[in-house]
This record gives sequence, structure tokens and C-alpha cells, in this order.
Amino acid sequence: MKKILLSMFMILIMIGVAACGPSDTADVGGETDTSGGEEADTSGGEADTSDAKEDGGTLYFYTWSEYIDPDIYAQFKEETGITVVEDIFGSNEDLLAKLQGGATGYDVYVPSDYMVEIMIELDMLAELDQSRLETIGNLDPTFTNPPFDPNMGHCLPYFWGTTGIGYNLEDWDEPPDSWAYIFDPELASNFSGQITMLDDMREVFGSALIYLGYSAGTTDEAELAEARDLVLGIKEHLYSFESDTYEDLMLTGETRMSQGWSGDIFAAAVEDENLWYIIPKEGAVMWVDNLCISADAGADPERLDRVYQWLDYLNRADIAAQNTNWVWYASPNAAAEDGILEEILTEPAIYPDAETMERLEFLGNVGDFTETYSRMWTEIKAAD
Amino acid sequence: MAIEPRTRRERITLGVLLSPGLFWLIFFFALPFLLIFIYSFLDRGKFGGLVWEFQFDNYIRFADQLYIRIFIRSIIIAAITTVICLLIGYPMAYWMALQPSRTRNTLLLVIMLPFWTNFVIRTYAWRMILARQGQINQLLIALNIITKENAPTYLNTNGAVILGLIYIWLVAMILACYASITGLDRSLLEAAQDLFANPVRTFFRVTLPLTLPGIISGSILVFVPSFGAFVTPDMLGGGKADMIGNLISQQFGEASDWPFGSAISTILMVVMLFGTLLYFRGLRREKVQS
Repeated sequence: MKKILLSMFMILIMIGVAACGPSDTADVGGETDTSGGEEADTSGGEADTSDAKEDGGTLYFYTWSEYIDPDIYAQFKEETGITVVEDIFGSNEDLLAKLQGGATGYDVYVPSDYMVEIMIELDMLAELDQSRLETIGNLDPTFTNPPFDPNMGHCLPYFWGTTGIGYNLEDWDEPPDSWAYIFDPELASNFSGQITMLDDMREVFGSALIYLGYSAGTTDEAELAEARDLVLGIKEHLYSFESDTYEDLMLTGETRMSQGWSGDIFAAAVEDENLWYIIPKEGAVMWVDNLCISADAGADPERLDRVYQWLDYLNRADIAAQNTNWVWYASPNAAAEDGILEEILTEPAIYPDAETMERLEFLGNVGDFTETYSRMWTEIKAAD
Repeated sequence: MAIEPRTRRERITLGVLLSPGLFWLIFFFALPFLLIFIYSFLDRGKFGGLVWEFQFDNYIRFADQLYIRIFIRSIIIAAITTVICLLIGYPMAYWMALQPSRTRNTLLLVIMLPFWTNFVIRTYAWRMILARQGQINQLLIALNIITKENAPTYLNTNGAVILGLIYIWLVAMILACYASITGLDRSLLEAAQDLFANPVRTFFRVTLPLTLPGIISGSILVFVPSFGAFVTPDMLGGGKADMIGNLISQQFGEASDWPFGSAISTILMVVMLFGTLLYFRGLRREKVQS
């Protein structure tokens, strides 16, 4: 009997520990968090490579899943002795929430445009000293004075891209060039149960609002409600809301279409040439992800030294090119273009023409109105 | 029943023996709960965070058909999970208890073995099994029951979530029932037989009442965590079968609304506590009556 009670106790402890899964507000404190729930499949210690020439210390890099050529970590370590430890977040809101929840110890974050603005306002970012970056001249001037971070006062642009439609060439004679193929219930029913949308509130509303002809960052309640009803109308045809593995679902044939980020789909297309991506004719959300220095790394000269080495390295023409060829997003690094694959440079869905560029829109910081977004997002998620 | 400390020495011994438990309760239950309780009366900052202004808005906000509906759905999912766990777990535990003791230990080990793997990984396995091109459909295709073209997916439904929850929590039910069934005094069963009670009657008049404590503790062990689950509905529900736990985790995550998340957590705690208390009170009354 005692034995049984003991083993029961052990089981409960184990289950209890497991149940605490992805609430991680814990410090990074030394190792990559591999138990991060939804992200558990992609996160990992790829960055941990052994045999260093000398120990150059460790840099904690908080980024999106599969958003860097993993070889770069090893190369960087080879060159500088610095070990980069990668940790993963799933959305901008997720990043902010984890930092507000007390996660500390990160040196570099990779937030998107509107989140950069919020994080600057919340004093979460250190200022960028451009004189410490030898490679600063590599950037395309289009990106050196972004509206969300005037004159790159805090962050260095990393990649940019769009949120459009991923599809399977087998299903289409003409590419699905309209958001209607997802948002029109009748058209969506052709692929009922085989469409995914991003599990990202701003992105889902962003695309829906653009389809309706409104601004992707609206602060008008009636417009947002219309967008909500639009998504509710096609929810029955959705396979799931998914941000991390939707391209894998398309690869295995589990789904046929997705609202997705350009680079994810193109990276999957390397494995299956039938997968492709399009920026719909109504327009799309455009985003710039940025390398930003955490405020606490900014206060520590030793950490800051590692950070600048890392930013400089990623912004080097050859490294930026290598990285672009792996992630398939557009690089704001003009000097890198010589090294970027021809098929990436000439793909209009990655480097859109001027006319398409005009139909792209940043999500924008909506301030207090976030609360309304999040309530309507809950209404979408909670609907039967 | 309770041991009353008589001498000073006994009192000190008692204090020493209780201190690890008390420490646990205070630091891992009482203090965090107090924190959540206080947060639930605060206001949310513009970009999340806390504003120290006391108010009741968060509780008023919850009284909304949107949230109540998620709440009720979670109760239904947890209840179905519990009932099915009981229907599978009790007979299983009963059968195990009848085995010779060596077999029993092996069986216990076999049942617990899968639980040495992280449950996130085990839930991922279910994602593969239930997928459109998963093992279930492969089997059905091989048996010519369905064709490859119209193979359905079983993922991202309430059913998949319930299956996942049963899979995770069944072991708690089995162990709880098993503990009380092995404690059953066999001579009572023989007595019932001697008094010409048929097996069915013996089961309902003797076995069931005597093992009720195990059934109840098993049910609580399954119901409570199922009700608050958020990883399983997230992984097997695909954001289409969210439960109250997802709502809470959204408030602490994406929505950055800790005060509202805290208010929902507090409501959840109170409901669970009262539910459990009522259950135990009902049980005690039943005992007194019989």
C-alpha cells in the first residue's frame, strides 16, 4: 500500500511538472528552453556547438522559429568564440508578454515594426550606436529610416516580408490571387478543413481588414467587427490557427492552403516544388523584423560588446546573403544582393515590384485599442 | 482520528514533521494564489503590465455570454473525460487488483511506463496518429473503408481534445481506483456470496460503496486538471476548441491582460473548491445514512 501511494505521488509530481509546461516566464539563465510548449518542436539548442577555440562568452538570442541559417551560429563561434543560445517566441505579443512576465537575460530580440515602437515606449530596448557597426553602410537606404524607429535609433533591420497566401500548384491552373479564396465562404469551402490561418491576432485581422478594403491597423470598432464576422464565417472551413508548423502541414498534404509568411512557404517549397506563395491583389501586410538590443544588455559593456559583434556579423554582406538563401525572406542588406540566389531576387512575391509595394501596409501600433482586438480575437477562437 | 499533541515535545515533533508540507503549501499555493487574487482587482496598463487601482471590472467583464460559454464548454469536456476515464479505469483497476501480486507490480509498471516520457511529446504522437495521413486513416484505407481522397482528419475537434485528455489522465484514475480496490476486505465479498447475493448485487451493494472513495479521488484527479487544461486543447484543438485554460493563458500571453487572467483564475479556483467541498460533504452524509 505504501509503495502504491508513493508511486502515485511520484506520478502526480511528474504530471504536475508537465502540466506547468509552456508558462515559461523563467529566466534564460544558461540554457535554451526546450520545453516551450507549442514551440517545443522547433526550439532547441542548435546554437550549442562545441569545440571553441576560446570561450568568448554567451549571447542570448530571442527570435522566431527557423529564422536563421543554423550554420551561422557555428561559424560565428568559430570566428569570435562567442556561443549564441537561441530561444523562440511565436508572435510579437508572445515576446512582449514573456518579457513583461519577468523573462530576463536575453541580449538581442527580433521584434517586428509595430512591436519595436511599443518596446521603445516601454524602455525595453537600448539605443543603437551605429558607429560601432562597421557594416552599417551595407543597408538599403529604403530601410535606414523606418517610421517605427526613426533613423534606426534602436534597431537594425534584419529581414522583411509579407503575409500572403501559401498554396499548392497542383490545385490551381491560375494562382489564387485574391484573399477571397480564404475569406469567401463559398470559395473556401472548396478546401474545407484544409486551410490554416496564423495563430496571431494582428495578422489574422490584418489580412481580413485588407480584404474588406480597410486599413490593416484599424482602430475603428465597426470595421474590426466586420473583419471578425468575416473570419467567423469561414472558421468551419479552417483546419486550425497555426503559426509554427503550418508549412509542415502543407508539406505533408494535411492542408492545401494557408495564410502565411512568405519565407516560410518558400522554405517549404525547397522541399516540395508544388508549394508556392502569392501576394493577393487586394494587398497584404508587410513587416520588417529587427535586431534590437535589450535594455539590460545595453547597461553591461561586456554583453554589449558581444551584441555588436553579433549584429555586425549578421549584417555582413556574405553572411546576410547566406542567411537569405536559407530563410527565403527579403534582406534589407543591399550589399548582400550579389550573393543572394537569382531565384530569390527575381521572385516577385519576395522582392515585389513597385506597383505591388504600394499595396503593402504595416500593421502599425494600435495602442489601447489592442484590448478590442484581443476581445474580438477571443470571440473568434471561442465560437463553435 | 486526529492525533492530539499532548506534551511540548510532541508538539515540537509535530511542527518539525509538518514544516516541509507547510512550506510547500505556503510558498507554492497560498502565496501565488494571494498574488493572483490581488492582481485580479487591478487595472491593465496600455501595453499590458499592472496599474495599481483597485476595481471590480475584471469580474464584471467575465459575466459575459462569450466567457461563460467557454466556461461551460470546459466543464462539459472535463466531465466527459472524467466519465470515460472512470468507465475504462475502474474495470482495469479491478482486474489488476485480482492478479497475483507479482503480476500486479508488473502491470503497474507497464501502466506507468509511458508517463516517463514528456506529455507534450506523447500528445504530438497523437497529432500524427489523428492526421489526415495518419495511422488511423492508413488502416482504414488498407481495409478499403475509405479512400485516400476523402480521408478525413480527426484533429482540431472537441473529440480529439477529449481523447488527448483521457490519454493523459487515465493513469490517475486507474491508480486511485486500484488503491481502494486492493484495500477491499475480501471476506466481505465472501459474506455477500454466502448470503446469496448474486455477483451484480454484490458489486453494487458491497464493492462499489466500499471503493467509492477511490472513485471520487480519481474523478477529482481527472476532472480538475482536465477542466483547466490548455496545452492539450492547444495541440489537439488547433485553436478551434479552446477551453478556459487557453483563455487564461491568452490573457497572460498575447492579450497581456494579467488582471483579467487573474480574475478568471480566481473564479476557476473558487468554483473548483466549492465543487470539491460539496462533493465531500455529500459523501459524508451518504456514509452517515448507510
